[in-house]
Amino acid sequence: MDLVKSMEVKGEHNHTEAKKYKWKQKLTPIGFISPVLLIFSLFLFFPVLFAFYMSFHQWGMIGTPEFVGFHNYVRLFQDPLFWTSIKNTLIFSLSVPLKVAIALFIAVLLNQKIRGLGFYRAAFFFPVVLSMVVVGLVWQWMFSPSYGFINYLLEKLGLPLQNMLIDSDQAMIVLIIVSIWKGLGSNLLLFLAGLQAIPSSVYEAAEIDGANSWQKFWHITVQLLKPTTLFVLIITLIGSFKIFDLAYVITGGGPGTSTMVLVHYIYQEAFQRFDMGYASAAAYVFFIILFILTLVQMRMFKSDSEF
Amino acid sequence: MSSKSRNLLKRIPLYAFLILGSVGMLVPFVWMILSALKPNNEIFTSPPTFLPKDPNWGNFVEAWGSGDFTQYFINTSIISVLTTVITLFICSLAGYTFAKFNFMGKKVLFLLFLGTMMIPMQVIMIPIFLMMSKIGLLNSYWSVILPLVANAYGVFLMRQFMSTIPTELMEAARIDGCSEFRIFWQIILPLTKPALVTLGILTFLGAWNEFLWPLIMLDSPDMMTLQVALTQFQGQYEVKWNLLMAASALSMIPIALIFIVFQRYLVEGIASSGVKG
Repeated sequence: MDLVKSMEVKGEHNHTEAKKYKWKQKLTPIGFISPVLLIFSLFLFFPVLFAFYMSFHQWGMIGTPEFVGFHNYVRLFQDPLFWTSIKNTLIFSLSVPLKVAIALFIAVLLNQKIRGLGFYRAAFFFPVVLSMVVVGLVWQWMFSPSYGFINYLLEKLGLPLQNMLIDSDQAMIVLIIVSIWKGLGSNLLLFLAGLQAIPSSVYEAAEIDGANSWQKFWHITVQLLKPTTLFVLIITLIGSFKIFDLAYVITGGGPGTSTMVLVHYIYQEAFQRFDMGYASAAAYVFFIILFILTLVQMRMFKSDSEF
Repeated sequence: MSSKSRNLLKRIPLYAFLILGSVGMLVPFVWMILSALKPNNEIFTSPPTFLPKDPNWGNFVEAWGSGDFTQYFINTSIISVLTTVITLFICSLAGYTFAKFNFMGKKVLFLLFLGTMMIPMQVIMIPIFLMMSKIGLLNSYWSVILPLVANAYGVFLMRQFMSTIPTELMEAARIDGCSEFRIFWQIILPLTKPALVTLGILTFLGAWNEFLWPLIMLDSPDMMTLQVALTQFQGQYEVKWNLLMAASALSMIPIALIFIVFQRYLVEGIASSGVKG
């Protein structure tokens, strides 16, 4: 802007130059943003609206789509398998507080002057970068009833052997254990960042007042970490609603339908039965659930961000 | 006893817990490598052995050769590299525009972009699948790359970083008659290296590990990515866990290398976003 002014001051003959410059200033951002806007429109804005439109149509891979009103949604709410997948997703999500608590606990341990911090952090963090498929395969093998490491260990310890992957009451526990292992590192990092933001003077003041370690943890760390904890809770919850890869690889939704989760249900209806309209309705229900969770998160952050 | 050694004694439980915990975290990884080395007759002994009695390094070669793994590796590399390059270009261009220019509807557009972070891919995968099939891009690299490059988190990250660059740099270049694109490409972009590296690594890892998009979009064996190929192996080679573990280990070599070299950037990237993982 200063540049425009100085050009105008310089004299009459520079007037057209300045005008040209002004135009360029206006066109440049439009030229820059257009290709990006095109990509976002094609692969986000349009599909999200189109999925909504599809959810009101009978839409197979062949034949013409037919408007059916709320029929897909009615069918969905009448399908026991849909409710099973919701139930399983919720059961899986019950592990979220446990996941967050473990991450907080280890973050507090790591947030002190200790030897070998780099090693511990790397070890806890490494699973985060691995693919869900590889993680799923390795853990399926770990839990193998006759040849896996878990039973190898249990036998060495003289404990009863497990058969969790083929037990419909226990397969979900395996998924929870694996997802704790896989996701611990990223939550840990978020907590460590939060912990490092707490000024050490607060702890020093508490020490002068005679606070013990537990009091310091409960009254300072936990209280001041509330915003971080809420954030971690909600994103972990959102993440757990999206579970698919792990369940697909480790249990394939089984035994029976005991680990069939919501995304797996959507995938199956869309890409194995090619019932695209119906699957879009299921996907929209899924979207609305996540949307509500995100709104809750934003609400909490508005009221709770200052401490 | 000095106070120093008493302090150390008090800390033994802490260290015991941390060492046990981190070794425990690595157990599945170790078990994968040990299993990959076991010969066929040893992989199925019950109770299992811990260390392979007769390590068979040939398993890695055999696993690689038992599918078209070279092709899967090439496919995954092409998809990951192209996704990363295009994402970096798009996100930095958008981030630069949002940070350094004013135009009509900028605020609304930025909010719309940010809002897309709420859209789960499971909602848009069906329309995008139909779109790709309509324009004949199904079973091509682009059908996986294009949906991955529309990355609002990347735009946000780049915008935050770009706004810290002084605007005077651009003004000075304009006076020198530098074209707008050259200002972006040759002056601004080199200054955003740390953000580009962070975003680049996260994008590459995400694309390399991506499972659902390639599973949906790529259906011929010569187009498969490593992740999809591994799950195919799982069905096909259910009895050959040593080979499956060997193939899994090989598939994660690039990931492990990135982890070793760029751990600092990864830690920063995840601590600042919490989006991935």
